[in-house]
Amino acid sequence: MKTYIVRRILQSIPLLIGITIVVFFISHASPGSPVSKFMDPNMTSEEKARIEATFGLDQPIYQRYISWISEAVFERNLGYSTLYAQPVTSVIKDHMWNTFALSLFAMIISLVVGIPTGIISATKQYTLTDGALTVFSLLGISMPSFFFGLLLLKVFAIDLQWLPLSGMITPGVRDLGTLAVYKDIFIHAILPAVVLGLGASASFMRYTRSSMLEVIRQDYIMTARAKGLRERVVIYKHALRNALIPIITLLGFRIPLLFSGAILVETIFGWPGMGKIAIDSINNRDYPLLMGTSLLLSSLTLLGNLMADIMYGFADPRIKYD
Amino acid sequence: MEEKKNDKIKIESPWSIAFHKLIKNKLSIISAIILFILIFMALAADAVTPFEYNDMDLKSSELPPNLSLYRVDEENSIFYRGKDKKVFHFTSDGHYVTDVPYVDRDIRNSIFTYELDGKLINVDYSMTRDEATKGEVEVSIDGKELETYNTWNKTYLLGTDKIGRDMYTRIVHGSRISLSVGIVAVSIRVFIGIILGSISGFYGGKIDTLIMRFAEMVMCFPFLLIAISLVVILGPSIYNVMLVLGLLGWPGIARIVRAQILSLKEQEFMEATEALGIRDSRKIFKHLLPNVMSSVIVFATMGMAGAILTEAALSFLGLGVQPPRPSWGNMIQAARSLYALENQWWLWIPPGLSIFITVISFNLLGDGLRDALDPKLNK
Repeated sequence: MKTYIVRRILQSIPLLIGITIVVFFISHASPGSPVSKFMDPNMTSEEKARIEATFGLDQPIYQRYISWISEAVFERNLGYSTLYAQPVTSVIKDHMWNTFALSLFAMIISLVVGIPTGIISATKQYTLTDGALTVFSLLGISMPSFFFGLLLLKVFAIDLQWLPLSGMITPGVRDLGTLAVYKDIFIHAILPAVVLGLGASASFMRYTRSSMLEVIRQDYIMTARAKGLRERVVIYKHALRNALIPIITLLGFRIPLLFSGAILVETIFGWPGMGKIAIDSINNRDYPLLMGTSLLLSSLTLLGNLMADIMYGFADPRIKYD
Repeated sequence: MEEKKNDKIKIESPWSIAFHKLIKNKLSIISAIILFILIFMALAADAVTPFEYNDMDLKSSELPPNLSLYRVDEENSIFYRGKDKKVFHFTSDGHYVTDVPYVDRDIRNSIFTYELDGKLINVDYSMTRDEATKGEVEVSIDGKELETYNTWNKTYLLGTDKIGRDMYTRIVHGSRISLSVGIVAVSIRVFIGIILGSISGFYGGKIDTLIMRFAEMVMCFPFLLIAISLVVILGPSIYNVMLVLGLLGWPGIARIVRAQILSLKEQEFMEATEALGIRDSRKIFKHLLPNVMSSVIVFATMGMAGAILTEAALSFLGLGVQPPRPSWGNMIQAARSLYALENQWWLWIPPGLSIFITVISFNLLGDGLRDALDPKLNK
């Protein structure tokens, strides 16, 4: 197990280097210059060159890559966001937890909806309930999140006026105390979290269903039934534990999504998170920010995959590593 | 499934078994029919639509599909729009004729007078003042209120957009965009996926490690973010969307192809090909790949759904298909204006439903195909 973990981590290092190279070159191949906002047409070319030199844009590209990567590794400095006029790390820090809170809420919704429906669907295989739930999960997968979001906005924020239209916090609420702030954020998070959560619940449901189906065909379940245990105990105590193992993998894959959130949902609901800064950085050619966000998100994906693999081993001792 | 053992007199080919299983699945059949209709509409878009997709007429902009008309006489009716105090002439059964300019207005009382066939029609908008466009409006001729009734817009079946283009025409043409993006993107994925997957699975060793690490790396990127960045670099256009979706989506297929080839190449028929001494390329293309095709087909069908969804998302963000070309995604952009979201459902709900129906049809068909083609379920 230990050697497996070590090997798995070592394998990730070249991947990570590959990711940084791709992210760096994608960002630098983008048209437009990140410093164009500091320039105006009346400037002389010397002045322009001086501005570029301030941001290190006069160096050859491989040197810029090396300095970017060594800064990132040794000083945890991802550069300076020209758009927010702040270091990239602090821009990310400001927005990351907003996304995290929203995604955690969404993940709870998706687990609460997805796992029970998956179990029901599996225990009633080939019945009408199963069919209906399967169709429901396909609805969840097929619904474009931005369209679903707009529909919910139309119904709950405009027609019924139950929930706020966009943003994360009502201006002025901060003066009313911490509790009021949390309540306000919660109310703002409901619609985006439902859009994200229901979309994800579909895949949780499908995974739970198929792994449950596999488990309840096994001999030990028959033994449990033969002992005369109640069906509920058989399903929830004996079968579920093993059926949830693949769900752990899925959860591992979802960890990075907690931070990356959903660009589209955040755009529609005006949620100030990672999705918003990603879109802002692209629209404003803010390379350092774009690189920082992409790098963070891809490394988190890598980490999520790694953790999924390792957690899988702990959850299921039957798995042998060579 | 148990019946099959009894009537195994005629030997069916695996494809025909799969086909018979598939047509028993009602949902798959319905979605296949929907997709056929869609493909037909996309191919015959010009024939089944009354307008060109970029025919615009600012006079007839923002007309809804469901009209509440006021009857002027037997044949003629009018439709008013409180937002900009415009009146349109419709036939009484709902065909658009033209817009009716006002001849006189009393701004203080918000009463506008329009002339139609020599008749002077007074429209009293004063009640709409309070709440943008809501509230009762009085439409009268010589003080006599006109009868009001609802009918469907017969000229513009799904209304018109901000610059007076027919929404129905644009939605039908939008199916072309969605389907062609899906088909091209998935073809690129399948092509790269099959080539790299079979090389990786067949030869193994260092080249396998290299390809699979590369696939893993591509899968690590935050998909939408990288897709957006790439589209920005290449320039937003339909062809670049196809390319980017294709280039980012192949690892899934490559992994499936590799895994299947790994297990297939241990089987006896591959030993036979070894004994016959045929070329590697022939082994792969003639003997291995046909066995992998069923998984690839399932994956490609589901991939169509994913590609269409992503294209719609990119176009919605303004990075995909560029106007005036209609794409369902860029049509939904209209709903980012609060006014349209609140009052003009026909601008964004029909394109949204079109995406949804297309995507769910591909997913249902893919699901059905998987059940039909999966040999594990046959046992």
